[in-house]
Amino acid sequence: MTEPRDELAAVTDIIDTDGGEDFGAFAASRWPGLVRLAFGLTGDRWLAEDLAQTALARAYVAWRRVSQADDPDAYLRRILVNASHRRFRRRRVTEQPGDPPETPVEGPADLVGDRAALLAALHELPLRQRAVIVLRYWEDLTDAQIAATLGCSPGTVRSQLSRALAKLRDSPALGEGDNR
Amino acid sequence: MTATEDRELRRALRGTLQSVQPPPVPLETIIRRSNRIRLRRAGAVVATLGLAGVIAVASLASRGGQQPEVRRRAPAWRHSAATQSSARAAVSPLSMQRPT
Repeated sequence: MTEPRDELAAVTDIIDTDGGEDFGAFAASRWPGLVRLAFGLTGDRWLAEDLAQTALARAYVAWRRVSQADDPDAYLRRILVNASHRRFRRRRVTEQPGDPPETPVEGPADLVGDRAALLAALHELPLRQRAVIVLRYWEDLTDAQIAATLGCSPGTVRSQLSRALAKLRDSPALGEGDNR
Repeated sequence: MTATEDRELRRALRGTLQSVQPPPVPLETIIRRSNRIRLRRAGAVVATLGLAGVIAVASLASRGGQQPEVRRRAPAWRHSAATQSSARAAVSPLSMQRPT
């Protein structure tokens, strides 16, 4: 029986000899951030992991281009956001805000409630507005970077952001959270 | 949105997303998926080429029944003679006048 770490090392070796260079290290370092970004976009833990896998798999297919890109993270983010939009369109997912992450929930119970309220409020937003919010407040991207990720103009990003913030402010989910 | 609300939203979103603890990166699954993507793309290329080939063969076969239209070219001497005569006709009669 091999240790999981050994298996990981073996897979990394396969990737390394397959011309992927340091893809294993790249994937390992980006994986948590990608899952969290995808969770912000989808509100579903399993869908988030699936999307993160899809993004990394596509990045590996185009690894030569990704590794030579000025900003590989931007490339990866774009793949992820596109994949989430495509998934949503294809399946016509009737999204339900997922439960707040069950592992490990730190802090008092009302904190969990606040997180659930925030997720619920986020999922009332249209896809693009949600993406703008998550990319701005989680990834700390500028308008131009968000525009490049979403494939729109910075002006569109600004207008989507202000609409999203207005909706979040009026959201009953967040209102309840504030009143607690 | 005020700066306080802005900060509050940032803090709340960070708290929510940082509480997600992803499992270790499933590298094997990712590699398998990427191989499937490569295969699918290769399949799409083969299918496109196959379709283009079928269309080309079908169009050639449909033309095969018809006699191709052959244009008879005039012999070279005739062509040059015609060109010369048309060139002569193109010369304006005014230019042929002698200066007085």
